[in-house]
Amino acid sequence: MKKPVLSLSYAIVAVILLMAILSPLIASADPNFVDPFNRNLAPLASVNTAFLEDKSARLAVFGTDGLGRDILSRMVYGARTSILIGCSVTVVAVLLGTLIGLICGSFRSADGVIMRVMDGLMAIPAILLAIAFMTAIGSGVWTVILAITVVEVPRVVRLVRSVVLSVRQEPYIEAAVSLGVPTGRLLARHILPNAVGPLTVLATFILSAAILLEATLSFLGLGMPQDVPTWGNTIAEGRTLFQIHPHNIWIPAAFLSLTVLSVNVIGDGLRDKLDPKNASRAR
Amino acid sequence: MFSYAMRRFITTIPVLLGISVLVFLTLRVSSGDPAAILGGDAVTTEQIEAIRQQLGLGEPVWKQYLLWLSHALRGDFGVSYYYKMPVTQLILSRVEPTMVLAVLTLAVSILIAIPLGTAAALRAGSIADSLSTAVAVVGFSVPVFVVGYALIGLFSIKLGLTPVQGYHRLSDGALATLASTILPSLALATVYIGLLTRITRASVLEVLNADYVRTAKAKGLMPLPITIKHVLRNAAAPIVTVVAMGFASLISGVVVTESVFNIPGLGRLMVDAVLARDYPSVQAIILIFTVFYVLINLLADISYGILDPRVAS
Amino acid sequence: MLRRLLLSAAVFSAVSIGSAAAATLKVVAHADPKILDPTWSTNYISRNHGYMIYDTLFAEDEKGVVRPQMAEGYTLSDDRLTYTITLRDGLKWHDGAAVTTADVVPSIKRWASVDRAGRALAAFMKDIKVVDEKTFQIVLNAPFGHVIEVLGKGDANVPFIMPARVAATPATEQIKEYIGSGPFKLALGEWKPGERIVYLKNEDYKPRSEPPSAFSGGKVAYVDRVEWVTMPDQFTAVNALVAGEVDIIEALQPDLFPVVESKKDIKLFQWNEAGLQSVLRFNHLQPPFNNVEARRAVMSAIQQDMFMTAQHGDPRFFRPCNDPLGCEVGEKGPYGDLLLKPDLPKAKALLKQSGYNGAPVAVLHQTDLISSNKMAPVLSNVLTNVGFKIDVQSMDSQTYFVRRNNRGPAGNGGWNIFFTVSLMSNVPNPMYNIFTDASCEKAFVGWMCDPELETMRRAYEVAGSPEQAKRIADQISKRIVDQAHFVPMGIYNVFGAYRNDRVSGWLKAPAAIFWNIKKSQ
Repeated sequence: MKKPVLSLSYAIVAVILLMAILSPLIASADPNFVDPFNRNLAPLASVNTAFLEDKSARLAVFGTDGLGRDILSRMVYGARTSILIGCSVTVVAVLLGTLIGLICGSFRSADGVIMRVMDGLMAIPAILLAIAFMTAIGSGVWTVILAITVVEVPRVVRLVRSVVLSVRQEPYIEAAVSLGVPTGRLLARHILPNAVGPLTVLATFILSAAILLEATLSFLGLGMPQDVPTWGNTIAEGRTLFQIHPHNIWIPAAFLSLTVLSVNVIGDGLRDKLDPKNASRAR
Repeated sequence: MFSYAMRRFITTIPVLLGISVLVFLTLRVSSGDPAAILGGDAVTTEQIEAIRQQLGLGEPVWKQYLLWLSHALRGDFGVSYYYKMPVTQLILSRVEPTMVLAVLTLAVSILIAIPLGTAAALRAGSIADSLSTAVAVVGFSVPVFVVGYALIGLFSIKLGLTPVQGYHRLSDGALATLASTILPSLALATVYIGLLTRITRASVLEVLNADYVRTAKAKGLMPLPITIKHVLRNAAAPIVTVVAMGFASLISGVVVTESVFNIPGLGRLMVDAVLARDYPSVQAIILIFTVFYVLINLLADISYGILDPRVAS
Repeated sequence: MLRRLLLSAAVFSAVSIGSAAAATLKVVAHADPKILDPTWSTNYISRNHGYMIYDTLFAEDEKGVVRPQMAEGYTLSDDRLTYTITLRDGLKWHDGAAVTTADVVPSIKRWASVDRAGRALAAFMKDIKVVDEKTFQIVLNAPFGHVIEVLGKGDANVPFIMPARVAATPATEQIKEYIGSGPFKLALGEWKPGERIVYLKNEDYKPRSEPPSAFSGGKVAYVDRVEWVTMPDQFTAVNALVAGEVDIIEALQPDLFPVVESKKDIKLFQWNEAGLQSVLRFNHLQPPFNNVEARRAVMSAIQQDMFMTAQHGDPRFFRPCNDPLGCEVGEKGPYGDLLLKPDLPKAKALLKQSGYNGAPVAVLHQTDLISSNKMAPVLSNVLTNVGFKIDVQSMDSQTYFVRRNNRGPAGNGGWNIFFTVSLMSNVPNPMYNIFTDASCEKAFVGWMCDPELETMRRAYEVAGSPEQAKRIADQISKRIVDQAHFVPMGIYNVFGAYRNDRVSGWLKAPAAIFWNIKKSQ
């Protein structure tokens, strides 16, 4: 990956993270404030809200949506939702997947059963699995996190398990085992460090996949509740007036695509750095 | 070869069974009382009890599962709560658009990705190489629905070349079908092209560096015949696997694409069914998609065995 | 003789045009019909389906005057208690059997057991009996001046006539056979829910000889097929119209008018001149809105044009009106600033008085009907401001039509508020206006319960003069506002859009109807 592209990607992710953390400071208005008299305004429009005490004009940088809500604010809070879901899924999936992967790699008895379950989960296309969960539990932040985590965990399990199995072949590990080093210490001192590199790379891809899947579910009306400002929801709501007010779709689409793209580029960069001989390998 | 295929087939059976249990349980746990949903607005408690008996809801869960599975194996997925018709009939009426879309997408992807990937591998650092990287990254990062709207905005609204949305059945004329599915399959193909280009490029590169290709070059054969005769033949095995693996992204894509382009196929049926809490339909579609996906992977494994006999032995 | 000549001319012209080319009219209907029983449901798409395949005894013309349709005519006995109604010749079911009074009587009975105006009629009806194949009688226990008017009512539930075996279905169950005697017949095999429903021209239909006028007169089907296709959103629909893939959009959202206004081949058409009224319905059975103060709090907080702008965009297409029984054009109703300018301090005070405990208020939000899909989010904002905790529950319209029948608590699949609409032609008349029904558990969803209001409505039904009726209607309006039984949200107009280059003859009526429409290739 070329250097400037990588730097730009880090910059974009940094901006999105800032938006997510400092949402209330950056957003120019309440993202759910409905103002029907100022609906579907184009970007850079000036907004006067007739029924507010404060009648001074605001600038709607990205315009307003079909209910007159400020799109910039919805994007900023949307970043918060995306990042919250993306990071939660990544952290939970990596921790849970590592734990299960270690168990699989260390204990032959558990391996067979657990890996069959993981194979089963991986055999269902991610979006169908997520939709099945959404149907079962109903929409909401925690359901979305749970549904996407279940989809991502098997990938982590496979990775960690393969690392454990390959490291176990090494002579120094075999020596340590014969010397009676406890399994726990063995895992923590010798095996886990070998997994950190590939796990970091996988984590970035999980992050981008989770952000994308959340947006897709929301776009289909199966993800976050409709009144929560998310990128996917904003695109879904903008569909009807796409022809006349395309900014309702292009702006959230740009946020979503650039974020996912940047995270992917960072993931590629990390992989190349950690494993230069695989620089051209497909993932 | 045959025994290899059989062995692979037998190992998928427990996976399929596991999936059917998962699908059954997830949706059965959640669906509340199907009898009350089926009964409608003016239903009495006696009527609900009668429907429960009829559906076998009083039985223990494992018995219900076996009942459901035995019906499902015979192609009977019950009656849709929402559309009030047999789920099987409902699904059959939606198969055509999805099949056409999938086949066309596959064709488009292969036609674009394999030449692009091969060209990228033959000339590292060329325009084709950069293009293949860009296509791959964008294909993975830009959601299918965004690509869909971009295509609609450009080809349908601005240029007026294709119908904006909707689907024309094959019985209305194949040309109309093609016109109505070309944009959706392009949108759907983006993910796929990304994946396929990268794999083609990598596998062709690997073969190009092999000794026998160098020998062929030394013998004075022109680059193009080398490519066709030796390289692609030997790079085919991983490419076929990826074509099959990519089917997962194709299925996810179908769900989204059919919503964006208003195509009355299985994907949209599933979204509609989920929104309407129509559990029998959701169960059936997830099961069918998954079984299809598993079988495609199985076929890929087996054909991998044929293309690369070392695997089977 | 002249009549017969006219009749045969009408039939001849229908046949000659029909045989010229098989014309298919493709229509984007306002919803996907899933309930095909217009007596079981008050849902407008079910009513429109009814107009396609069924016929009625009497029918409203463009001016709202009720005229004979399947009926040849009727006589009223001197004591004003016995109506003798005869059927006209040539009426046939789609399966070829003749329509007889043995079909009519159970159809009327089934309808009168559910419809509000029908129940008003049933209350006066001592007997309804077959005299012979073509004649039946309605015998009253006291004079009731609205018998013919009610039998010709144009809005849901319309008293459609169905075959006896179908009409024998209990009114609490949906019918399972779809055979009528109307100008079109259902092509059941081609019905693909979620995709399209297809109607074929009924070649055996004998239209009346009078020129068509709204639901009355000669209902001549000029096209061979009518397809109602389902589109997921209006964006898709309007582009299909521009591309010529469909001929008609039943109702187009005003936001999209700019797309078609520049196209010379497409015309907007206001088929329903009187417009529609939007209303907010409370669930009177469940807290907090079983309490009048809580309902008044909502009423004080609402500014109609905010909701109307969100829903219908341009003020050319809607007008505020705070009278639950509607306003003349140019008037805003007799209740001052109520619903026109919000009074938030008053709303907050009322909410406090009501003893509201902060439990979430479930607002049903149907996302796919352009009549009221923007209202819920606006309401959520307004009421949160007042101090309510709002839980907007989004769903598609068919789910919503089932869900709103749930009388249980909001936490248990029930609801507290939803939005709906009614034809303006019904609104001023408390006998037809189902929103004014306050007969407790039998009332329209929301289950308003107000014996005092019901007494007024009974008095209205038997009012001796138009002046007296008007006086009672005013009392009813005041009572509804005082008790904040439901909230009128304003009046708006609907426009369809059609391909001017090949479609002509779309009739004005309170519903979108598809006979008399010609299509050139």
